[in-house]
Amino acid sequence: MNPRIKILLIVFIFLSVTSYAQKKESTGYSNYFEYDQEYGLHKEKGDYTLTVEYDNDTLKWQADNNFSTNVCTVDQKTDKYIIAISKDSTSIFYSIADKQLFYLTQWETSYTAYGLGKGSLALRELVTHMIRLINNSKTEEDVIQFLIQQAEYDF
Amino acid sequence: MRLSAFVISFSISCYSYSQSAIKSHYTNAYHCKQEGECNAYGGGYKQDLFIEFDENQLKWTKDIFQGFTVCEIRKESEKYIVALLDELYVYADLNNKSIYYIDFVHDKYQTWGYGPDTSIVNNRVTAMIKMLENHATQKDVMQFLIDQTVAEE
Repeated sequence: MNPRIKILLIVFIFLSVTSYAQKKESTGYSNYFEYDQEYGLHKEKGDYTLTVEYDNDTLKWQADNNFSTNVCTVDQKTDKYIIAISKDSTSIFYSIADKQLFYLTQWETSYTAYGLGKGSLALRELVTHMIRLINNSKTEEDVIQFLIQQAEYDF
Repeated sequence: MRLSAFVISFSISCYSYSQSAIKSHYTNAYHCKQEGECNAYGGGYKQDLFIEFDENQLKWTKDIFQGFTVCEIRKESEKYIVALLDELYVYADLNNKSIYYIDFVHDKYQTWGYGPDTSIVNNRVTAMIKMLENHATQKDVMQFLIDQTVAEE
């Protein structure tokens, strides 16, 4: 085989493998926030670990070693964030830079926003804002747009 | 021996090159409380303000004998620095040689500012708290300060 083609082939294989490479991140955290439309803000203190494993197709996350792993399909991925959809159609937002995971669930007519991962004040700030958007008749897509905007700040 | 002397001298040169210091001053500290008042503190006489930074840390103090407040830099340009201290953002405006920061006390935000141009500092500290009262995030407030600094050019 032509040596040039050999090199090109090696580079192509290397790029394909690295672009598909799985990344696994574990973040210790001590506060987990939940903001329920009906019951308000709830903070749970503890010694937790958020483990997120992702590639271009799948995002797996586990809030603590005691809970099962949630497997989601990646919908959108940038170098700053990942949006994935769970089996029950919940949108999961993971901020890669801030190592924070957010999602919104709906039970009958009431929404609950969840925020877990690094930090405390930012999680509280963002889950509060997520529910504020819902209270102001915004859609789940608007909530995701808000999280994207926050994750895109490079500081 | 010669090599070690070179290494030491090179390290000192690198350190002095990467570390920057700004001596500034302020006449009043400006402070606003969420859903509260804005006030000026300091008596209106000239007081020192020291700002130091390298590529990792922003340090600032009003009193060099009390030591510096050390913050982790998140974004740095020739005109400004965005830094974090215990999840609260600190902003150094290098054009105006001023410092702004957000505090969170009893579940409410507070904003502070120090710098030589009292009018600019007062306006920004007031604008920062208004943004937080209107449910902006700390990051939104930092972006506002960046936009202000850049727009001044």
